[in-house]
Amino acid sequence: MSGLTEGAKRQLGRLVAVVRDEIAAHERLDALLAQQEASVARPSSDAFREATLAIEAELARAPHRTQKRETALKAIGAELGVAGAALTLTSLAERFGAGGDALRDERDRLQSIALRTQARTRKVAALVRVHREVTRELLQSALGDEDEPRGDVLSGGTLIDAEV
Amino acid sequence: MSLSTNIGLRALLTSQAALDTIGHNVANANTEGFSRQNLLISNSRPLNLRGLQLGHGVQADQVVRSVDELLNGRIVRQASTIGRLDAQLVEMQSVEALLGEPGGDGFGALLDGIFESLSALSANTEDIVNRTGAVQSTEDLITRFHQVSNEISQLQSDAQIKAQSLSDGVNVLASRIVDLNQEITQIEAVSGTVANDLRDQRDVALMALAERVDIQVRENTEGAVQVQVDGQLLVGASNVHPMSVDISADGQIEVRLEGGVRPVDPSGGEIAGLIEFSRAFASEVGAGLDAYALEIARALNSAHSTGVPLDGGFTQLRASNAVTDVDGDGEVADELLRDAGLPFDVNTGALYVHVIDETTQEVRTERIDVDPSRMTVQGFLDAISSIDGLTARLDTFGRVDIDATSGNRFHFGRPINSAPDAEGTFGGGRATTVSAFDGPFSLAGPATIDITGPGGPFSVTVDPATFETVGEGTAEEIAAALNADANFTGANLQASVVGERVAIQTVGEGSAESFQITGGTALTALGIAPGTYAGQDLAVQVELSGTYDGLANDRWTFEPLGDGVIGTTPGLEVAVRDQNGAVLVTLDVGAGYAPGNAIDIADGMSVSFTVGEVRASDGHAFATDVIADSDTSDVLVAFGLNAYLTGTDARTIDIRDDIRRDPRLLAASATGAVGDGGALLDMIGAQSADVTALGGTLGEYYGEIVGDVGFQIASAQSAQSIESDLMSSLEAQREEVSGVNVDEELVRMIQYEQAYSAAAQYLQVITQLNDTVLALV
Repeated sequence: MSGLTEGAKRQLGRLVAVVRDEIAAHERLDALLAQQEASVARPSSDAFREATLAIEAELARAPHRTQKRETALKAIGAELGVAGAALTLTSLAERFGAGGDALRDERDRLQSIALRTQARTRKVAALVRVHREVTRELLQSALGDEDEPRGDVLSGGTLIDAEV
Repeated sequence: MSLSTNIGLRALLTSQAALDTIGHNVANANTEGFSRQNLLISNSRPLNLRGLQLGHGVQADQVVRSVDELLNGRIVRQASTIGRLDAQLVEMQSVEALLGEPGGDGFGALLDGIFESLSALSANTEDIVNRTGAVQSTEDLITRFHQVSNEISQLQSDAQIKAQSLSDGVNVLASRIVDLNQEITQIEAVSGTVANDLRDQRDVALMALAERVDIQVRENTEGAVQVQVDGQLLVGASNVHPMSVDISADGQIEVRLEGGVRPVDPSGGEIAGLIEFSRAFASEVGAGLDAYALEIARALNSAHSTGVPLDGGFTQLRASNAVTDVDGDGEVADELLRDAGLPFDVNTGALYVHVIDETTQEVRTERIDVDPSRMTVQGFLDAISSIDGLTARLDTFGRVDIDATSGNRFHFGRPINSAPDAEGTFGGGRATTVSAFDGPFSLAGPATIDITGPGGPFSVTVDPATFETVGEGTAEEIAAALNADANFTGANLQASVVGERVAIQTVGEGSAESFQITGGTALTALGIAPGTYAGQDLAVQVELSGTYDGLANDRWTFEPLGDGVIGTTPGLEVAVRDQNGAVLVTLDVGAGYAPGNAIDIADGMSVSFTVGEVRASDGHAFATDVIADSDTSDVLVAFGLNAYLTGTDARTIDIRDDIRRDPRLLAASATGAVGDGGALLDMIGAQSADVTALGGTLGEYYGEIVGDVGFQIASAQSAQSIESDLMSSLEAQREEVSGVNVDEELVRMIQYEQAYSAAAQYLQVITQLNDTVLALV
């Protein structure tokens, strides 16, 4: 870390803060997904509705975090003479050596929570898909033949979680 | 299988159950008694895996009916109420239609028709066409009574048949409930789930049962229901106590459950409505018509029984009503008149019997005093038989039979005795003295009258020990005692009765006839003055005329207020006293009175006197009965003697058979005089007369019957309307709780779909977000 400029060290501190922000956001998202999963069979219940609305609110803040993250990477890339888009948290931690320990720790936490959120997202998406299909089937039987449901990202097979 | 795959499968199964439930609801949206079903969902129990509690998705617990048991119980009770009112009202309206009011076929119009025809007859009582018309109009009323009475009985009989048919339906439903009980308990015990559809079917059966008879339902812990009717078990958990409907000893519908110790008395349901109709409404209307028929018979018979038929009297008369052996001693004639089982009461009063000599047309009137508490049937027969020219007996059926001896006729009318002084005790040709006052006469012991006749003096002894009331002799008893004395009759004397007074006269007439009363111990008690009494050649003839229209029977006694010659002696007056001795009127028969001219007395009556001498000093007097009602005891009505109508109720009322065959027997006359329609007028008077037993006139009473029927039907209709509205409200509430609303189900599903779609959109964003973050790492 002795070879790093003071500016690079300052930018590293900002990046660590951005990553911690992201970790916190993922933890909130994961909690909301757990709530939605629990109430997925009762879409008219308060719990399902509240979870959906809370996810919507959480996602509304995501672009701001992305911008802060990209700004931080761009600034630190400028100090290192590397394009920001080419950087990863792992490569940055290596570049900073011992001085990158904090970033390394936060990278591990972010990876962990991102993987957990990804898995839960897939599970909830699968449940929602199945329930929506059943509901559409009911509507079709009650209202008669209608156009087939529109295709979307959740139609077709979805890998839920192959690791458990 | 992985946990996530398992969760997905559970979710799929749960959703499939939801699909089945909603589809079942939609398919049964119009099924009677179907209750909406809901799928109960809960979180699956979490799995312990590597020390972690992992969520296991959702599961469908059970499908439950949306029912409000309290509301359903209320609806079942309401069904019983409406069932009762419906059944009752239909039958009641049949009775209303039967009465046919207002209308020409109703009783009111038919009774009016009788009075109109009697009125027409009264204008010409001898017109056989009018007589036939009166009988025919009566026949119309009788026919109507029989028809309505039979129809009401038929309606009651029909109600019984309907109740029996309903009880068959009750038993079928009870068996169905038992079958469902068994299925429900078995399914719920084995599977642990609620047998929703079977319970719905059982609810429908209970509802149908409640419409027929009110029930009490109790469900046991196994899910079977027990059904009771009036506290007795109809449906047990696994058996039925069948219902049966029979007719009780008093002709009413009787409902029993097998094994029950007493009849059940339903208070709701169609069976209760039919019972109530038969037991109360129809019986009350029937009883009302019976009373109406009875009082019509009483009113018309009361007037007719004292009437005189076209032939002027009867040679033979048989009563309509039989005496019964009330005391059960095997003898009917010994019954007191009040206890002889007659359909009408006998009162204390008098009966006037008139016997007409067919040769001379002389009318003899006898009065029989009737005391129903003391006079027996035999006593009445004896009283009739004691009248010269009549015999009375009971026939083999217990009916009074009166026969006139040859050459006589009789009737019970109220004729005017136009020659009231037949014995000539008022200025007649015979030598006469009359007691100065009315009997009975008190004699402490044997007393004498000393008389000198053509053969010389003699004494007559009157012994009061021979009188019915010892020591007190009636005029009849005194006269009989005198006429029984050989010296008295040997002197050509005779004793007779003038009202309640004793007259002593010579047998012969003319100025040569005389006798002398010289003394004796009985004179003061008998009001007889000593003196010499002579006959006269110019006897006074008395003639009564008119129609007595007084309100009560009376006995008028005529006596001169001085001695003098009719039409000659200035200031000569005749006093007319009523039976109480009060002077009704004083008639001026002295100078200025033209002998033979009628003088008004009172109450429609007149009298005329021919020339002759009357002597107050000799006690001249005559008496005559004026009759307003010749049977104040109503003994004729009670026995049904000379009745116009026979029978005692709507079913048995009839016109007397011999009058139907021969309308000449219709007793139109009150006096027996040709053209007199007094009895008809009395019968017509029944139209407006108050009838004590009915609390008004015949017309008013019938109006009450019709009005009461109308009121009860209106009340039942009102109750039915209110109860039906309540039922509609309860059913609407049930529909809210248990009914299936297809639109709501679809809206619910669309909302589901929208919620899932929204969630899917966000899940897609989260996926992209995660991918970016993981790329950054």
